[in-house]
Amino acid sequence: MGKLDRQRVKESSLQAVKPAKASIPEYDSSERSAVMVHRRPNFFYHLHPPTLPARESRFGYTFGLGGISLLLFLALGVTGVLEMFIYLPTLADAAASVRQIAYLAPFGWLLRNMHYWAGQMMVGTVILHMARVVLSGGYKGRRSNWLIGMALLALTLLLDFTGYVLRWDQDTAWALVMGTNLVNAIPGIGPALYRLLIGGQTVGQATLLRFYAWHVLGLALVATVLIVWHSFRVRRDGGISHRKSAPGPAPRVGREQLVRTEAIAALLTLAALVGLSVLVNAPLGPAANLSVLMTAEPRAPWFFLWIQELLRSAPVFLAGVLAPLAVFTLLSVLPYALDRGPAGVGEWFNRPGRLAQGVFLALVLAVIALTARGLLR
Amino acid sequence: MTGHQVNTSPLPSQGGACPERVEGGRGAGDRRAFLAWLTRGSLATIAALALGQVARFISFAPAAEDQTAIPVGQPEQYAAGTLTYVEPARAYIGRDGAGLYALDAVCTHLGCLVAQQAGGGFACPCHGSRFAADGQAQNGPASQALRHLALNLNQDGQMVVDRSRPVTPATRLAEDS
Ligand code: FES
Repeated sequence: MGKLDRQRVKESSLQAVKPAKASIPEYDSSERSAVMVHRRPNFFYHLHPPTLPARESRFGYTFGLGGISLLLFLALGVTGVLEMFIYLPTLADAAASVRQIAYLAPFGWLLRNMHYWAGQMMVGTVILHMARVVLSGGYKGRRSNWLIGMALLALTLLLDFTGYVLRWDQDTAWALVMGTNLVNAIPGIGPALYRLLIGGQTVGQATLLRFYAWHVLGLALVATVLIVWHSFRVRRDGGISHRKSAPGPAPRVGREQLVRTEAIAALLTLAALVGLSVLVNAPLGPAANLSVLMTAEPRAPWFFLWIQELLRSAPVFLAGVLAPLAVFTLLSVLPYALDRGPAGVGEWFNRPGRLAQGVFLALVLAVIALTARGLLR
Repeated sequence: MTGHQVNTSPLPSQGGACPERVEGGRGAGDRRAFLAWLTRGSLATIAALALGQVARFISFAPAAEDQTAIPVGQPEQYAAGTLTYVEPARAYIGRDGAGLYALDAVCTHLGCLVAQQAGGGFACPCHGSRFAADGQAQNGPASQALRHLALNLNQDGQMVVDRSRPVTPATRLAEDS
């Protein structure tokens, strides 16, 4: 009880820094933090604990990848809602409405490009975030949050794929046909699941509409809830994963330092997003027509190219369903099967986690190699 | 409330000292555990049933309009030895020595449209499957032959392709005019 009260006092506005300073001598209270003492901490400060482990708060430890992914998700929400004002999820109008956004609406091109590039960047940042967590033992002692993260990885890929389909040009419509036919190959429940996915016997109006519903709300809502839970778990698990140093407490820094780093990272991310969106247009091919013979080979989105590559040589169920599931399952059980102990948390390439790191890197390399082979075709 | 708490968690050292509480505690504990189990079980059952209905709801599709008989023109349009892709039917219409036939262009692997190859036969652009001129799978991931589709004449002398009716590769249109 007494401990809890003290905790509250520590968190409260006026004494945000002082008790920490008293108990942990190495904490360096800069002039800036002294100013903070007299202000009520704003929302962004409240998202952080008053003090954080100094070593693990450095940008060079996390590279801010989780926060950057969150920022991109928010950018996707804002640009996506704006696109919904013009986009029409119907076979007749989808491609035309995308063109209205891209060519006619003021700054629509920028909006669409930002939505596209934020989606691509987010796939990259969540995968790098996952790599950071594996390679620095960040999941040790907090494995449930790793599973939430895996669910978020799956949701990110599904959100990207459903969004890709909404563009409704030749490439994306054929990717939809192939992707949904994969489901058909599952023994037993395949055909029922296929009908549930596409809303009928063949890909058509119902399919586009339900992919739209999944994209703008169904998946996005679940992802929002899981992101909040994922972030909450970090606080609940004792803040950012950090080395348990002995003896005595590790040096800590005030949260204003981290908030400042995060603000800089956010600005740089937004600058990169806008810059990329100004320079490179999101792809947009001829309107989808599933009766016209294709002129070029339709490609899966880049993050599924490795599956398309596997499909060339292995049976559909094995390459298109079992292989991705196996990769996903293997990643999910890393901290439960191969890297169970708490030792080595917060250390890049820590010794106890070598096996898990090796398996992870081997998987990543295999996927990259297959993707490269697909790209070079 | 306090009494209940005592019953659910009797300390081991105190359990023997108070037999009445242990007896009452056991009975109440069993009952409570059973009720909790019952509650959780019913909630899970209701949730599972509701989810099943959600799945049924989103699997609903209105009956598709009859799009099975697709007109592909007059027999005279197709000369001997030709093979023509007809877009609305998503099928190749060919004429060989035996007569007219319709070959489904939809790849049996994952549903892309196969393209005619220079040397005869078909190739799929998606994962590289190869099919012989009669539709037999030759190479690549697809293991099933392209489907031959029913080809009929309607009252106006127009040919129609029935995408819902596969036929044997030897089937030809009966031309008796
Ligand atoms: S769809 Fe034709 S080879 Fe895969």
